Amino acid sequence: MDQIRALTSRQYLNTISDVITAVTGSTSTGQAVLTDPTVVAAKALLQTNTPTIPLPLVNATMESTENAVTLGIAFPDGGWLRADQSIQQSRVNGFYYFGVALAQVLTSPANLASVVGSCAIGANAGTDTACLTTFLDKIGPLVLRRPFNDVNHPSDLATYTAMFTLNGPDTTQQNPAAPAYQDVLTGLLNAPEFLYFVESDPNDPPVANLAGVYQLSAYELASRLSYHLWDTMPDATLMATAADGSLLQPTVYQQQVDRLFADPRGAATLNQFFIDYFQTESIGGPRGTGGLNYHFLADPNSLASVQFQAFAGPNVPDASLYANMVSEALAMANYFSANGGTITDLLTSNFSFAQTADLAQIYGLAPWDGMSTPPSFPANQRPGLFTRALFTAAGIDTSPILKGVYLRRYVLCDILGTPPALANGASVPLTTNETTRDATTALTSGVPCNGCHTNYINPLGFATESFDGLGRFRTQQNLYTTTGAVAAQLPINTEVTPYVMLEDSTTTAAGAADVMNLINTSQKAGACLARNYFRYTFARFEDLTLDACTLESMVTTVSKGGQVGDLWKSVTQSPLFMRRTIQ
Amino acid sequence: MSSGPKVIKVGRRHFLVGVGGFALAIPYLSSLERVARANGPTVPPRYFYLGTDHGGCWDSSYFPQVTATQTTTVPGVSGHTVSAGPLALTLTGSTGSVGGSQVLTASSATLTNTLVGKMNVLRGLDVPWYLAHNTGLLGNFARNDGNGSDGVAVAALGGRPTIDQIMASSPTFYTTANLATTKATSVIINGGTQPHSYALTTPGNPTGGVTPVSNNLSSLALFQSIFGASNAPVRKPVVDLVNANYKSLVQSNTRLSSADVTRLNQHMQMLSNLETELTATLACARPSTPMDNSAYGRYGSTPNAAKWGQLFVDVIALAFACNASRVGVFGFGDTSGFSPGFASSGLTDWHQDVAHKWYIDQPQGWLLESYQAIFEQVFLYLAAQLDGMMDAEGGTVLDNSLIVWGQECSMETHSQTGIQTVTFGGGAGTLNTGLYCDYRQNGQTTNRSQFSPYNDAGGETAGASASIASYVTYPGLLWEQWLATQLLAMGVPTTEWELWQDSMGNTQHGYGTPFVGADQNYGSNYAPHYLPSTSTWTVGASPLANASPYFANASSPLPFLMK
Repeated sequence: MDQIRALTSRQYLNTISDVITAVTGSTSTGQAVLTDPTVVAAKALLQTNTPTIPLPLVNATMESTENAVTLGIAFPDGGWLRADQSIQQSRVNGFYYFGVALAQVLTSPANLASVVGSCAIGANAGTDTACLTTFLDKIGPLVLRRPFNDVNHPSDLATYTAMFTLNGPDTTQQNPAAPAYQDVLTGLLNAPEFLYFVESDPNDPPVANLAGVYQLSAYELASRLSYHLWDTMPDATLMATAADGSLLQPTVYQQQVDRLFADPRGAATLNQFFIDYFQTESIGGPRGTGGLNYHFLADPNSLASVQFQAFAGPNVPDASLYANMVSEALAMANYFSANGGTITDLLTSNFSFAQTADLAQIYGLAPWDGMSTPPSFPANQRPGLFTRALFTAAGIDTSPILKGVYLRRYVLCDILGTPPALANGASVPLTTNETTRDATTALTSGVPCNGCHTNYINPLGFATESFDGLGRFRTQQNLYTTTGAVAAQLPINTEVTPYVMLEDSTTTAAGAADVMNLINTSQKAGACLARNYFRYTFARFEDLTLDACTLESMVTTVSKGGQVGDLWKSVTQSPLFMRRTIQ
Repeated sequence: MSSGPKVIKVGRRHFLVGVGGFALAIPYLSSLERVARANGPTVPPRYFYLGTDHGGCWDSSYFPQVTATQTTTVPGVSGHTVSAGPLALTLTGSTGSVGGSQVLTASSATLTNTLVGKMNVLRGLDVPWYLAHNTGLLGNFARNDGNGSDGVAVAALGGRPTIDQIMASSPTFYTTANLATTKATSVIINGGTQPHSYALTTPGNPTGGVTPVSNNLSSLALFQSIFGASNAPVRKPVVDLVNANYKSLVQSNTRLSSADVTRLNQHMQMLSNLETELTATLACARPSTPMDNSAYGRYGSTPNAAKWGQLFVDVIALAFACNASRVGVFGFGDTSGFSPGFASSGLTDWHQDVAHKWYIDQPQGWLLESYQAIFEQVFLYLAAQLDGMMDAEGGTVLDNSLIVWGQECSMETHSQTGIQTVTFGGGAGTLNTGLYCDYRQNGQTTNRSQFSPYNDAGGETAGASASIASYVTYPGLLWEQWLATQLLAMGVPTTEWELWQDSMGNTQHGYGTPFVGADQNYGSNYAPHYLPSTSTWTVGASPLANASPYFANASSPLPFLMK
């Protein structure tokens, strides 16, 4: 089931920075190395990850492959940075060249002594094997994230000594041994145990009654914990618990989980989950909602039109508005994660987290200062995360269909079929005599569209029609002529039968507040959030059969008022997190 | 008027006026055999693509006036006759113009009869759906901004590697012997905001997605990445031992799954490829390091933009001369830096105020001057350099190359009907040159008026110049066929790039995702041309491979071009 994973570019750069600090003992030296022109130039060759829909694992079983393909079709938008595991020539080249450049700077006259030791200086240093051994004993465990040259890895010293002697010392250099140490460092920074999470300790105990399943070692577990919660290598404290084996004790393990989660690095990494989950960096808005995306803002025919100017009034957007909408959504998710918030808070809270004047003006509230209790919307006007501008704004018009698809797929985790080919050219017209809701209904009421739209898509989108294309609250929809005159003002109707439970054809909702309450009480949102966090953690789709126990334990933490912060930690407590399956 | 490029044939030595303005002697290393090819290019060919943003240049300003001397009918299509005629240089004082084109014009000291004879101008190559803003015209149509439903639909069909990366990974294009002197299988320059080049995410898996190939190197760093940082003796790279480390892990470890081994093997293969490049021996003496660097940027009016572009194509020229690389892509970005008029206008938004106002006289003038400038000062500049170097096997480096300048859009920004395309080079004996080829089905009743479909509340046509008010143009041949022609010209067989099938399992022809759109009036204007009424496929979806002769024959070379 598992496939060896590579560090993401974020994890790689974080680790590089931490390794340098650990080796040199100095944060400032590390900064100087990373800002050296040679290193900066080589950094241009590093390939960054892109959010990726998890592909079926190579050599996976037929069932798990079918599961991955089915879920990949069912949830086709966005993706996860951690799932980008492409082996690209340019990526491998980038790692190599960056390693060469970094090694060159680390072994420069300014740094050689602090990185390797004073024994590396001098005419005879090129043949000083003791110096080399001492250096490898220091840096090996940091880079390889395991003991160096121990009984389980008896060839380590020979491997890296061969790199040292490949070209040998260069007597034309100020420090003849420097180029040889550069080769060693290049080799270490390109080692499989550095670039990948190698979890194949032969001493990992098998799990009883589960063929091919092994318990991770303390070192492997330390690595998993640190990279999942911090996106970087284990710190000295965590490594110490791995070295003495105490990390395998449940109480020590839980202490480390709590410590890592509470650290600022934990918050920063969790924020990356939200960026992935909300797909904020997509030009199409969150998972294809349409969004107030960059192109709309850059397209003169949209932004500069007389019609749009009349619609926008004092709220003509610029590129920073979209960024501020993203920031607000992330701030809300992070706030409740850090402050004991629950799923109910995420779905129904009336707090505004808009910290900039432009978004605050759209909301009709004062900006939040980031510290005190956030200001509140009027009761039931704008409940929860998914009524915020990031998820409702789309330009001169709203996108009820895309909003509905988003809620159905990524908040409820229900599976919608693939649209028919004729849907490709369809668009909801913006007229002067009917609301967007009515135009959408007219477009989608015929066969075969009505099969999905009438019950399962449109109502979820219509419930938030109380927000216009800029995310502003409204009770009527203004329709404009091409000259910017108001052609009509039509009342907004947000009454729907939302089919939150797919078989429920009778429960109705007056609008967004009712729909969010229904989603909350259905408990589907918590389960869906757990599934998405699973995908983020393991960089693959969940198998509802094989992963049932893990998912169940995760969902339980947030059901019935559980804190979302506990959900983030719960995955680290699952057996799946602490084991590896080898097929 | 010059009688031809400056060529110095001295035995087997290449001379080129390189960066810094001094001549570089590049001795030919006779021990390195070049493999003669039975079909296709006679010597290892080179390929270069220059891509600029926006388009928007009026056809009447771009395309030369040429009398057709050849005609032929499109196979399988009744009434579609295409034509070609010879390009001619028109002189006005010291300025030469190709058939009166206002874009394809330059100092006659550079734009010579010889170079015009090595040029082709292509008209009537269509992407028959609403692609709009994109960097996908090298074959990854999915790389579009999703401006309309067509673009979103094609993106959903998945990305494809671009033709430059097809060449870069082709064992036919780069034989084992070639790789012994190849320092980089492709040289990619990214000047814009989005990449043009894409490679398969998992090599060998055409349905596994694509990943951009890009970097942010300066021209100096690019040079050093190919030729090294100095002439100092190079230490043996440690990559071989790194690879051995991976091999040791895979061979000795019993706790790796078969999936783990697959991934690690892929990494090892990449390391082997890297080692090949690192240990490759230049087929020339290392050129001197350029004394200038592009780091000072390209914006602001010429000569900054020109110098910026020239520094990068200088590296391309050196790489081609040495066979250190034989594929280059330069995503230039927008051409605002080549417009003195724009620079002095007080305006700052080239995209909004110029490109999207292409139909108004003044912005059109700025577009026009920018395209003429980049043609002369970057594209023609490169062509002249390449034509000034001899290949030992015969011909100039330009003769053995195909260099292409293409734009993001055609005459209308956002449209890709009749994308204006100019090339230099004979493709190492595969291409006829000196031609203006018009692939449109002129005069047919199914046509697209330039102004009819693209209306929006802001008035796309407000203030439109009277001189183009009644302009019409016609559908032609598929862009996919042009991409296929380029691959064939470079000797890459169809077996290496006809890798996708339609929904019925038939092999798709041409290169790039087949599609016919419905957005922005494409459905009514272009679909009837590319998908005749007898077609059973739905407009707005990917057609079957044999939906029409256009799609069925898209892997055949474009008429008139291939020998």
